[in-house]
Amino acid sequence: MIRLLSAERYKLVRSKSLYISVAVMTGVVFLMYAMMGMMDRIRKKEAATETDGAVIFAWEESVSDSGAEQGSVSSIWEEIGIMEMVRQIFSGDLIACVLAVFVSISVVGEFVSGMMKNVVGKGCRRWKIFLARLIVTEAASALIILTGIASAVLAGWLFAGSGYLAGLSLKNLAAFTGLQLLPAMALTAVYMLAGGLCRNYAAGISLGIGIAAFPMLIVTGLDMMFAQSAFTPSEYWLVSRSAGCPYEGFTAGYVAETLTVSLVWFALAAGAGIWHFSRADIR
Amino acid sequence: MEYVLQTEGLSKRYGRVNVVDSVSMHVKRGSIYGFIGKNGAGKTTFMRMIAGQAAPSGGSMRLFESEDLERQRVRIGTLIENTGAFGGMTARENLEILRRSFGIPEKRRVEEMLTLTGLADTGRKKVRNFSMGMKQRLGIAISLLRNPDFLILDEPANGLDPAGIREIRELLLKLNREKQITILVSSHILEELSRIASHYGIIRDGRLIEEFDAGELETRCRRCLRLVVDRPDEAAVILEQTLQIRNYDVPGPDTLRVFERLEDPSQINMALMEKGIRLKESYLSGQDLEGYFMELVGKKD
Repeated sequence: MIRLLSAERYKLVRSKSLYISVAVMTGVVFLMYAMMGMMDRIRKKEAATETDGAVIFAWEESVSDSGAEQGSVSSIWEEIGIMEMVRQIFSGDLIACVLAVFVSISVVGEFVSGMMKNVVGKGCRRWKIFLARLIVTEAASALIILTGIASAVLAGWLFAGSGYLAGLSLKNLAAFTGLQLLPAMALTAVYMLAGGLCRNYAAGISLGIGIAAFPMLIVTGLDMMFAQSAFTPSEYWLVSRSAGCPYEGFTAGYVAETLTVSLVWFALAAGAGIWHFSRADIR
Repeated sequence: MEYVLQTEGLSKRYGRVNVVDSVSMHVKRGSIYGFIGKNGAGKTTFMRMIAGQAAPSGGSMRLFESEDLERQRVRIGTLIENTGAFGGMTARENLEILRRSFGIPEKRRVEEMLTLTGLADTGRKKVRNFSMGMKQRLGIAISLLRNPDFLILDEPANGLDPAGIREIRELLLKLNREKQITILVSSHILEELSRIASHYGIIRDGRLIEEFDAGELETRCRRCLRLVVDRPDEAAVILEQTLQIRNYDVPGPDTLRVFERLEDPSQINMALMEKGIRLKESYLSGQDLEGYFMELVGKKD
């Protein structure tokens, strides 16, 4: 097992997909901040000469409608704190999509290149091969998530200044990070299962992105169906749980629920993945 | 230990199709076993089952006279279908991944394999930029990384130029002679195969239709006068008593093969006809492995 982990780690360090995923994650975070910065400038009319007049007009109208006095508009950074920004970044399916692409490329690449058949049947039990891959892929996914959170803090400091970080509670940030990592780890196992089933780049990535996007819409619809009852399906799906994660006021019940949901999904996906990989023909 | 591989009724079924149908193969230790068949005959699937990449649907196999396949497969090196290397990495990096996966402590093993297969100076060149020949050589380096006792090679000369084919041939012969590595090799270049193989198996539509050694092939493909007659027993007597021919055999119910006096077959034909033997066919034949294979497969078609 140790030797398999060593090989997987070597592979990960040498492959470009991890670095590209980390770069995309960082790039998107910075892009979001840049857009917020642009909105801030538009709001303060600092960008009037560089921006489409219609946008300025619309903004002025909306400000006028809300009764705010023109010329005394507050900074967007004052309204949206650093933790809110971090939550915004994780509230969509962006992270889920980045993980989907990374894991699919990583898993499918093993089969497409033929590397997998050089390892299978060479004295290592298949479940051990799968487990080693799972452990290293989980570590890489965690690195991508942590990079996203670190980038969000760094970009906040760069775009809004050091004062922006004053409202940052490290305790809350750590708790939020942990609560984001749990479903992300389970989601990684789900993507590994999907990639193992597809063994084709296009199909694997499409299925991964599909898993990231569509179930969230379905569970939102189900939430409406069960609106009259106490049952909320979206709380049991990883992506919606990640999106709805609070950034303060964490309760023990919420943490335990997130842990349970993540563990159940992880066990199901990893179990199915090992079962399938142990029986599948390797081409 | 006499056999490296023995299969009994090994089968693989995909849906309703029997891709490999009850194959009983016997690969002797120290031999080079040429595995011949048309595209889609089931060669690769059979090899994948031996290598543990595909689960058989039926039958059994023994490796190194043992049924503990998991343990014995450690002694097998394979090159099946493609190289099995990451295109975005160098040959050295690919071998390093496998060295770690296999738990080979000696780091120099990677360099040894690169040197052995002539890839030592590929440096930072990515595998995706390798020529077909270089990829095949890397595949062989991978298959040899663990110092195997048994090599399974599926079309190792595929896509190689004549010089590359010769290199592979010499490498395989060297491994077989110097390291006593048993080799199961499939190839469509039958002339090339006939230069190295000591044993042969011919597969058609998933069934192993013939298994023979090089000596037997030589006999079967020997230059001869093939006679198809109505009374072979009497014809044999005429050959022996009238023509003093001893070197002949009777491979079929109405067929004789004469291996001497081939410089003037008309003498034999006339002697038989004079004694009232009805000569249905009389022709000189003699084939190489390719001709024999085509005749065998064509006959079944």
